[in-house]
Amino acid sequence: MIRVEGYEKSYRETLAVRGLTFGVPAGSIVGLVGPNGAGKTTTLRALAGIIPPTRGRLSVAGHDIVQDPIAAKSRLAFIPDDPQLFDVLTVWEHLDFTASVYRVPEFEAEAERLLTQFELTEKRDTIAQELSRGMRQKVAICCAYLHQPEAILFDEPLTGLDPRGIRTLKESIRERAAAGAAVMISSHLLDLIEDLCSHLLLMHRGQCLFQGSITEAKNKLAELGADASLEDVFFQMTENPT
Amino acid sequence: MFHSALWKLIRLKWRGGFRQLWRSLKTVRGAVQVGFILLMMAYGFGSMFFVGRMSSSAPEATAMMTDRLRDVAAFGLFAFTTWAMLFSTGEATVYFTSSEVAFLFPAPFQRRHLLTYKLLQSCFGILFLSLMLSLYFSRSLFSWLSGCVGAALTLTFIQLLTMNVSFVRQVMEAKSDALFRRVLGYSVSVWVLIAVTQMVLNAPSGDFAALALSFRDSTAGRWLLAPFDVFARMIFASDAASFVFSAGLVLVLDLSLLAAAYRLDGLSLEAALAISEKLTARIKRAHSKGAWHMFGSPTSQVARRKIRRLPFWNGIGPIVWQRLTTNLRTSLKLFWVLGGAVLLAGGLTITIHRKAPENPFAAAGAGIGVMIYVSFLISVSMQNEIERVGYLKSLPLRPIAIVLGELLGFVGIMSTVQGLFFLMLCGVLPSIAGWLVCAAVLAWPLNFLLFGIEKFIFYLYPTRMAKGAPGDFQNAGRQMLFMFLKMLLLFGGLSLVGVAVIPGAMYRSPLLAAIPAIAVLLIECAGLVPLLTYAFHRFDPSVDTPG
Repeated sequence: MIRVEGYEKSYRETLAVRGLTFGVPAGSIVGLVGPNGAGKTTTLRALAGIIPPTRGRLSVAGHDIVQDPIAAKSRLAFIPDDPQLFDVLTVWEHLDFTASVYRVPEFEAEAERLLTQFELTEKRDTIAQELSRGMRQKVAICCAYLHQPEAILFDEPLTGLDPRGIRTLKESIRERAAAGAAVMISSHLLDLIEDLCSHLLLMHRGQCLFQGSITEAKNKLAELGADASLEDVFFQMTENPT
Repeated sequence: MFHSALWKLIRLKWRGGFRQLWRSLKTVRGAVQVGFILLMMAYGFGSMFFVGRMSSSAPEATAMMTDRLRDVAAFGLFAFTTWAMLFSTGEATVYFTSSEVAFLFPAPFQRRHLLTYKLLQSCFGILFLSLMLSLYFSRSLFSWLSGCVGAALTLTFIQLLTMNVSFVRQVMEAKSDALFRRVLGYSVSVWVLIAVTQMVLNAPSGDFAALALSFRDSTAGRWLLAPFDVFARMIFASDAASFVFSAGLVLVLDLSLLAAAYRLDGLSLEAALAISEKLTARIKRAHSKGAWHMFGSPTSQVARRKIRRLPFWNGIGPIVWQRLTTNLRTSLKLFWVLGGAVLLAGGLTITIHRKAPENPFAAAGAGIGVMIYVSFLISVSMQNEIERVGYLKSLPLRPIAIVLGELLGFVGIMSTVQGLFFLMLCGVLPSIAGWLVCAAVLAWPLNFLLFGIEKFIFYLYPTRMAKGAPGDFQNAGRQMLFMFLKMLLLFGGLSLVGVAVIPGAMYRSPLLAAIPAIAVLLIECAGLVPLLTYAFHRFDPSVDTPG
């Protein structure tokens, strides 16, 4: 569903991401982890069509994000780490606008369902300016889910969410993946990645250090022992990159 | 053509803006603020209309004024366009808010849809300004409608030209060599500096019309103003035929620029995003450090600039030190502005003194006026530090020490620069050296008063910097109301100083003027300190502030 081949991103003299190649098949959840400055957000933003790649090919559902951006973006949802809403629009107006962008016919029922799922029904007519950080995050997620995307990119999705919100989001991610969506989650919360993701993509200084299943990641560093957590694996790989 | 969802977004934003306006009208404070801005708008429109209509009833005088306007309009447009290109390139023209980036960039829109969306958003401002300009110049126009259409086409041209220059610059930044860019930048700067110097030296007086005519008659001016002449001829056309001809030319120019913008915009998507992010970061910086810090962020190079730690002084010292260090490292533009202000004020003083050597006070007054205006601008930039106030309140220092420390940092920088400037002027105007020394001394309490009043109003009515929504009359009204309040307080304070100066002016004695003036200013400053302390103490950073 998501395919990245030889992706490179440079800013003048700085090479932010170099030669990245990976794929996210439909129905899988991939955790994108790495220290600050590893190139995670840059990769997600390039996949979302926000920034163009310097080199390489990035595609969503077979559509190249540079050559055929409209088709690729129509199948994609991106939830950034800092949810930015239109201050003067209400929650419902955000959903209404999103439905018209992605041409979702008769979106009302699905929008109502999402508002109920994320406990936003009471805030339906509240303007975004008056929402808390967590609620803004929930609105951004509802907007992202509205058009039933085939690929979903999350950048630090749990920031600001309350425990119930976290649980709802986790469940919704599993549901979406089970329904066939390809999901990528970038996060520093390794517990979340271990809990939710089937596969791991570990980046460090713009390069891929590891990609594969989480079990494979643990097996790769057998010297850490059978009880090693993802955190142990992370530190081992990033502090001694080969 | 244009995506229906973007029409919907524009419509929803307008609806949201008016919803906010309606809600604000339901509170007394909101109603006062909205009423105030409406009153000011009515006053602005009314006065422009009447000034335009009633300024002179004689037809000869009107014809002369129209000729004069035609002469200076091309220069005015050139100056405005240059200013727009220098100071708003890449920001005002292609700025996407962070919410627009989050929602619109990953959405299935073509890039030209987004550009059209931005252009449509600017239409409201262009129409509003065109209406105001056409009302103001109505007496010199053959029809009000032609003036309004002409102004709208001209403003559209400036908008599109600025946008294209911005795109070219972004593409150049991404693709061309840094040395080439620097050489090009310096060459243009030197050329402009020479042209401006020629213009100032050749002008018979310092007023706008004289400067404009002097520039128009210079070699560089003739070439530079030629493209702008068509706009002047269109707006101030004498009949319908000449208007239609000029407007047709301008329309072709506008459409060409629009086509170029669509073409170039595809190359500069990433740069537009970078600009948007930069602006969002600036607004965040302004929230925590003050509006002035929008214009620079610390880098490892500036981290080398250090100030020795100041004594504790009951807590004032560390705050002053922090302010000075932050200014030194993040506000490089502050020093550019201060340096530029000194050059401008000095140049103006020398020019006026050369033209009218018999009246040194006029020359000194012009220079001092520029410096006071700069103080005023910098004091306004101290707003919006809501997050910083939260931090300051957490410090184990007395509120009086914090407010004094906060003020003295800015007052110190500003007064030192102004003081040095006034002392330098003594060399140019030795006959009034005594008065200039007094001005250098007076700068300290005067800046304290100016900055103190700004801080006092901010602590009482804190506002966050935000990009205004359409129809956000409350925000505009609030800003204007605060400005009015500030001017009122300042006027009250300075009136007392003016009274104190009278004996000195009567006996032409700088000392007799300065001593009571300083005494009154010091009393006013001393009175302001407890008020500031009280306002700081009652400030609640947890209360969500509008704006």
